[in-house]
Amino acid sequence: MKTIGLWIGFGLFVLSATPLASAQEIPGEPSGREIAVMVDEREDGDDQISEVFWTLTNSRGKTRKRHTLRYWKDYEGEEGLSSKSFIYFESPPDVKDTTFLNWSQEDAEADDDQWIYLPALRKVRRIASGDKENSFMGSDMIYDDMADREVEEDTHKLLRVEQNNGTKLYVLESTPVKENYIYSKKLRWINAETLTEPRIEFYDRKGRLLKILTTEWEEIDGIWNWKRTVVENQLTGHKTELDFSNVRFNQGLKESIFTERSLRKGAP
Amino acid sequence: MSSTPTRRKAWIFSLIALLWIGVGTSSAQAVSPPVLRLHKVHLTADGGQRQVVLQFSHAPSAIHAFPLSTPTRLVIDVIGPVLPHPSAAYPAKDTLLRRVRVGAHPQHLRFVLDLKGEKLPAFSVEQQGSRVRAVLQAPDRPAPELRAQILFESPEVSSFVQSIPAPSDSGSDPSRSAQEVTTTQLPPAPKPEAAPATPRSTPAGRPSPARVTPAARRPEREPQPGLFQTLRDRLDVTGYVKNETALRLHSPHQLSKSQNWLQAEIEFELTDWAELTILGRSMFDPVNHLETDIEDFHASPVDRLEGGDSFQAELRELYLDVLYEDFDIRLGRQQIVWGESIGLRILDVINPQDFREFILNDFIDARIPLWGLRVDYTLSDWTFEGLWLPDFEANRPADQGSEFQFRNLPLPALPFQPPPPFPSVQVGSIRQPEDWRLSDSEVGFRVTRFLRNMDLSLNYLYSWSDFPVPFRRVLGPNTFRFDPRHERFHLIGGSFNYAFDVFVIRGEGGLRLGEHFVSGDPRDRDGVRQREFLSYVLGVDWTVHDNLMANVQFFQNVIFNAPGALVGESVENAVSLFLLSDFINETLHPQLLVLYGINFGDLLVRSQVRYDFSDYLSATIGVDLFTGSRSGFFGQFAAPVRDHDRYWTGRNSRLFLEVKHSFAL
Repeated sequence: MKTIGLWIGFGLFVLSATPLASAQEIPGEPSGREIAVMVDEREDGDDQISEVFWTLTNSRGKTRKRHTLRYWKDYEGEEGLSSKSFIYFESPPDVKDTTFLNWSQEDAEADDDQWIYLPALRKVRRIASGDKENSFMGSDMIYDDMADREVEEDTHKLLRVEQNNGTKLYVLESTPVKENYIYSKKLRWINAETLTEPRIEFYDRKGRLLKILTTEWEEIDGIWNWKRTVVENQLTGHKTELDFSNVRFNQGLKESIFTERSLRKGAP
Repeated sequence: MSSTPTRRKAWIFSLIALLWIGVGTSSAQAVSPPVLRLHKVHLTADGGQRQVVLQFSHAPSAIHAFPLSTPTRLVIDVIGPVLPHPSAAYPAKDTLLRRVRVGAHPQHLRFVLDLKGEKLPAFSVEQQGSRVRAVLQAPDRPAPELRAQILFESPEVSSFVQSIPAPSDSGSDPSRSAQEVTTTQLPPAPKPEAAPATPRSTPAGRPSPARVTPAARRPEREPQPGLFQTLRDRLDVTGYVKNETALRLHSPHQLSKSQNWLQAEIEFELTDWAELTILGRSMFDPVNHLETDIEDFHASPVDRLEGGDSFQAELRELYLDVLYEDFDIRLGRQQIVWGESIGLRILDVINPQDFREFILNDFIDARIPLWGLRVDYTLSDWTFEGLWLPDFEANRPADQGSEFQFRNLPLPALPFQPPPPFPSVQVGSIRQPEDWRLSDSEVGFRVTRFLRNMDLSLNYLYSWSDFPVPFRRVLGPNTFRFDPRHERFHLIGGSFNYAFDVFVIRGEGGLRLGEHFVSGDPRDRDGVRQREFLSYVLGVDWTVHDNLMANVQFFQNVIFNAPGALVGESVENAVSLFLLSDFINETLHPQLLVLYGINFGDLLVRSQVRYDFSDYLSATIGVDLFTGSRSGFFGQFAAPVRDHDRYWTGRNSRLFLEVKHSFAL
């Protein structure tokens, strides 16, 4: 039997706007908080369908691969929800037909509702989501990385402006307001024109560089989306690569996709 | 089993098989002409020109190409019954071609080649069998690594796509995708682009430099996809081969099993709303101490084939899924699972169980599937479920004299002490409901609801006892007869769970009305009494850490008005502990399950560790330990081999090893 909770969540990588704080750090440039707000408000569509190919590589070079289908719908506070997502495991064969459903709460302090269907049990099981530091399906991401983090949960400082191949990048430092948060800070490189984030550095509670997330973005139907993402843990050497394909936005996804029915029936 | 039910099962089986063949055939006929699938988009750059090749599953009916300006584009409509392809954009790393976009329309796929620059170069578009080739004139010569790019390749059907030769002067690997040549250290920052515009129609009478060659004017160079490919696209085959070997820990130290399994599951997509699933398995066990006399099992020849003492093949599941609006219908041989508990079954009693390995094998393998109909109706967060099961099968107890033969089966008390010599006891054949007789059917209903932090279910089942109850008759002063019969009961129950922080509290209970029990009262007329029977479990999941999940449960069975009247305990209590963990990036999975019977102090400990060598190959080693009073449910397998033996663990304790290789075709 596959571990309950190990297959939790896989896929839902909406690394939403990591919040920043206010101050007029560089003359002539928006403040860190203003940039964070703009990133938070970047268009992400009403719903989305995508395929995600996962490659998990450990420090010895051993790899594991996953293929998932992901359905996501924005609720924008309706029913107290931020979003709903549904993930279906296509491969490898021992996890095929495993499904995962997440109802993300608008209230950042509230726990998400999460269920998993394990074909080996033929059961839908509700799972606890209180520990945000849990690994996201064995990847180098944790649940908190996927949550819709509010701008106000961090203070944001614009450290500098960089140029990369002629593209202007803001470098923000986001420090959590809450003490003893999982990360002591994040450094975020933000494209000044598209408001996408090609690079994020995560620092642990001791201030050590924990992991680096780099993302290649693509624009589909006017919406910027992850095309390829690599997360490298600097302490363990473990690496997670995500390749997105067949991304479609605003498909008018039905409510019924995000119910127990889909958990049992698999991908719509 | 009587021959009539067998014939009826065979009839149903044949009907479903015919239905399958019929629908499969009709679906194959329905795809004439077959739907068009996009297999590949390939860009090659040579001195003086660019070629964009669109590779399809077969030849399109026709193509239509036209240019557009502001921004500069070349539009290619590929006509034919098309399989909906997701709207997508496939960027190219090229000085002329920015990207290729594709969008699905009812009767065609539209490709838009977004070009750089304001001036449209000379171009031609032609169809070559299943390929559509667009050639654009370009004066520059790109870098060698960019001269062959696969912009899109369908992962499912790539093996069917013919290879496209790279330019002869290219030193690059044509199989290398565009994604692979991008850097990831700090990915190239995206440039702002306008949202893709929907291509407009060509203005009437506008001259086009394109040389468009409709398919009808071209000889076919490639064969149409055959039935095989159509079937292959709709088939999904997964399964595994595995060996399960168990060694007794106590004398006689011998293998109790060495089972070699082959299981295959075939999912066949008949239509967008119907799918057929077939799950079969076979097993060869040269040791075979789990059985002695397989003939005593009431097997249906349609469902199972058992050869000799060591081979069996079984059609585990065969069902048709139909999705109609908010209804899900499943017709056929299937497993239906209710409940929340781990390790013991409370509401999960719809399918009978195979006890040849007691409760040591996974429930998914131990449940005996039944023929029936299940209908679900989903309304928002509510699900309404109805069951009709005209098929009856009993629990399969372990054979007499086999490894896990039940040792605590109760018999009714005798009404008087028969005079010596010992009484004559006759045992009649088991009376059971008739398959496919409407009045003997089992029916069930369930309503479930997802709430914030909580799920609820209400369950009802009108069923048969899966173990027969021995009715007693007195035939003479020294002669008794026992007639085992399956009896009806009503089950009313429910379940809930509630999540908070890192915990999930779970509960599940069922009240059986009219359950039959063996009487301990010698004055009882037939040795059997009907009582109400409550069984429930309360438990909690605790996510202790990222790598550790714990579950604790309390079980209780209560037979009302039982004291002094029934054989056995009227109240039974048990607790369980389940620990699940993983290490080394989810490749090492230790697991522990402890079940403790409080009434008799008996214990079952199941401990195992699985290691995943790869996504397909794993090995598990573990022990199953029985101990405690032999009067208990678990302790019945803890009895010492001989009275003077003193083992902490009982004689059925075992060490086991499992090696499993999964596959997908």
